[in-house]
Amino acid sequence: MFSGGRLLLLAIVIGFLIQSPSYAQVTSPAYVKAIYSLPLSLDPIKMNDTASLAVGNLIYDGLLKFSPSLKIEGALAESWSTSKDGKTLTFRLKKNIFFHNGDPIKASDVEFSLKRALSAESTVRKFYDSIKQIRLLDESTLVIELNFPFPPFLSVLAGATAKVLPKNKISDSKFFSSPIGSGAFRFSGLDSKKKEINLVAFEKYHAGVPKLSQIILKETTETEAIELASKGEIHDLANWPLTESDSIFKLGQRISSPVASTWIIGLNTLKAPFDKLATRQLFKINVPVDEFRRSFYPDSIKAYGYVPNGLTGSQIKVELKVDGVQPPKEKIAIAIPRELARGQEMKEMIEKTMTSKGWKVEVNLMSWDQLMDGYSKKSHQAFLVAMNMDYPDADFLLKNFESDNPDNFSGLKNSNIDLLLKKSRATQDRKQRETFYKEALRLTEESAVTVNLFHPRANYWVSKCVQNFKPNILSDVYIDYTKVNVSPDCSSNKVVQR
Amino acid sequence: MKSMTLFKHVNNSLNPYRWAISVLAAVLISGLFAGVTLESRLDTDKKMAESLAPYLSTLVESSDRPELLRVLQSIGEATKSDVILAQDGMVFASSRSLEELDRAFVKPKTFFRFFDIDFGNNEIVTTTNIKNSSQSMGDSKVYIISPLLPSMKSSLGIFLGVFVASILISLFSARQMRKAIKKALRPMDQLHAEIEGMITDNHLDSEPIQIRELEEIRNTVRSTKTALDNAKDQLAESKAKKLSSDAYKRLIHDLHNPVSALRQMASLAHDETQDLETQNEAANSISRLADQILSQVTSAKKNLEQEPIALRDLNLVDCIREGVRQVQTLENTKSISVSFQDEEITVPHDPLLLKRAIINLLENGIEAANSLVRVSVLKNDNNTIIKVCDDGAGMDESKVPVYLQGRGQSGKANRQAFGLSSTNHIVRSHGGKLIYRKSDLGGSSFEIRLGGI
Repeated sequence: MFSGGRLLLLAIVIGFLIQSPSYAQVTSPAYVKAIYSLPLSLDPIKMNDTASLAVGNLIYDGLLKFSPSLKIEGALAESWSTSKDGKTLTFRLKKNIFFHNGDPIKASDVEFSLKRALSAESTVRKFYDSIKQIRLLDESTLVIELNFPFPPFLSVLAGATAKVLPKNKISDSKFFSSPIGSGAFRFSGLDSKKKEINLVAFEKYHAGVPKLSQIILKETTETEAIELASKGEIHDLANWPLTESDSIFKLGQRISSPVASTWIIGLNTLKAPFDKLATRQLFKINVPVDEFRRSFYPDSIKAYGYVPNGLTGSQIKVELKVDGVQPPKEKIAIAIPRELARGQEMKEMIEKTMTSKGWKVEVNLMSWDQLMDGYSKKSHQAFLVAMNMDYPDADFLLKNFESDNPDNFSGLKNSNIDLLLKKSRATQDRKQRETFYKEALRLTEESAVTVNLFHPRANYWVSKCVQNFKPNILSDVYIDYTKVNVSPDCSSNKVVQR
Repeated sequence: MKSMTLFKHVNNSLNPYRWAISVLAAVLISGLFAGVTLESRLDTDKKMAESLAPYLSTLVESSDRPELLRVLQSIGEATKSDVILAQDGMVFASSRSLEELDRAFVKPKTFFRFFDIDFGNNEIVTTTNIKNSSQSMGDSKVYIISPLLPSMKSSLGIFLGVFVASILISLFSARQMRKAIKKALRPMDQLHAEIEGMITDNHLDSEPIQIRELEEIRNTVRSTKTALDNAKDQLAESKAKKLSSDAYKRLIHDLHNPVSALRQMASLAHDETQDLETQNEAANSISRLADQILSQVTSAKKNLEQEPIALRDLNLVDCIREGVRQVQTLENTKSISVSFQDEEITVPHDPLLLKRAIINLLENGIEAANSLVRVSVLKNDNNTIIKVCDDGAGMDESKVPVYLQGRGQSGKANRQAFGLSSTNHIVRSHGGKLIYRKSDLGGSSFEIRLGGI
């Protein structure tokens, strides 16, 4: 004879057995996002490519963050204020904020992380060089004093490099092999063989537990990514600016928005024949920009200048005139990422057109890390890259042409540009800054260090199962994945079975 | 046609206009209020955009989309609308969706324009132009797209509220108007009571009527009544004279034969040429003829005493009923059946005299009848006929004129039969005729014919 207690136990066991299949179904599946490259670095102060920034933005949090329409919102900071002269910023941290290892986040961690961004090892030092001093008022309040009232500084702090790391863990030499952040997703592992990074939802995330329990960032080429997406093995192709006519959109959702980006062919003034202004200008005139845009990215926005549409300086239009200059006899190599879906067609089109205009151009398709390596070492004569913005201000792009900036890909040295940028950072007057920006951009355009191909219109492909995917007009790096989820009743998605 | 009171008539005549005007006024007033509310609400949106125009213009010229997005988002939240800034037909900033940025702006289809506001199927669009100071840039436009139903909700609420209030005010006003009409018609009632009093000679304490026209009517009616009474008196007097004259003439005419016979009998009684028997018979006749003459003179005297004073339009039925009642009070062994064509038969007559005539006929009928006397009244286009029949033995028709002249002898009582003569005289004095027929009941039937004859 069973006792009452045993009967109850039996009922629970039977109930569990009945419930177990549906329990398995409600477990949220891994969300697979394809990326064109694994991060070149997981150290925020060394991130200079979109792949690294995109991953970093998921793992790390900063004081501030961007909303989809670029409104600046508090991330770790609960509130902040700026002094009248614009040179003193005071931040108060949220309560109950933790790193992924469970340690509470203190103002000293923020101080340490920002000072690190100013250190010699930082490749993004230029973003933070306005900082004069950082002071701690208490465990959750810090003051940042600036050398000059740099108006875009709040945007810098909302950017993907201004991340907060645990002060007492960073000394570990293997820290970035398994980084600890405070972002919505915790680093779980890197599978070098599969070329995948595994992230899991951070249960103690200050803004609530993300809806996705797991994100897999998978490195692949655009062509392969599209193929995998069509097989239902990938949720998200947001890392590629697809064209709206792409057939993959028949199988998923197309979420479109402009992004603050410019596709350029960068010209290296340190490499002949681009050391000559007239040659650069003629090259810039001869590149079939419109044909390129119409052939490969027809829904993108025509680029009149270096700054993307919708940002101060985008109205600058400079008509270059070159008389009596002939294309040089030496061969010019243009580096293009191999990961681009129609890279070969691009190569053929550019070579053919430029040859017809008397240029000896060779387009080299190379892997992304190879291309970035040459970019860093300034070894390419010319290269095709997308200049994404870390904060929505012309200052970000103009920095690339500052004489003392190690990231000045063109090697351009123009003291007038340097002076104008210095002046613009020192003024709070919007119109005044606009004037400085316009003049600096005019000088940049005249220097012909970039062939501005187009401003892309991002056509994000996501699976039909994906919900609450909101684009960000700055870049795909800033897409907020904390609210994205996969429909639990979506049976058409194979990746659920992964 | 069914008659109605003047108040009801006026009220009914005013009703359609009153309701139509009330509803129309309610619709117009509430429409106006709703329109003004909606216009004001949308104008506020537009004013907000206009007041921000210089700032928006600066942001457009600076191409500062992030700031513009923040501003439009803020306007959108404040106005609960979608706010879109388009430059050269392309969406530059939008509070609605980031996806439409840098794409051609597609304005919602609108089907109605009210001032600067376009109404679509599901939305209202207000457009504000933003002038850019930079000549190289085209002008920009801010479109505020508000959802139609929520925007209209407050206006519809105000419309309904004002409509109901207007209808309630109209109802109250209608009620007051009814009271006012009633009050305004009081002088008419006073006039009516005054005239009624004049007709029935039931004079009330007369107060002047406030309405001059009505007071004049009353005075006119009063003076007409006085003139009419005087004329009637004069007419009665002349008629009485004529009747007296006629009566004398009839008496003279009626006396002619008996007096001639008396002279002849007197002559025969003294004519010695005649035999004695003839002389004796003639002498005897002298006495009888003298009695007859005396009887006629007496009857004539009585009739002359009963001249009608005044003929009035009164209900004949009342007069007959009263006569029947008086006769039945005295004699209830024989039944009197009464039938009237109508309960209201208005004929000009002197009720006292005519009642006397009817009583005479009824008394004769009762006297002659075996068991039943029937009184009936008929009215045709010209005449009114009062018929008194009995089921007795009836009269010798050749003797009827004798009775009508007052020379007849009562059949049952040993006395002169003046009743028929008197009745005949009264009927004649009313301008009518007394006709004898054989009754369908078997006895006599006397018809009093009044009117055109």
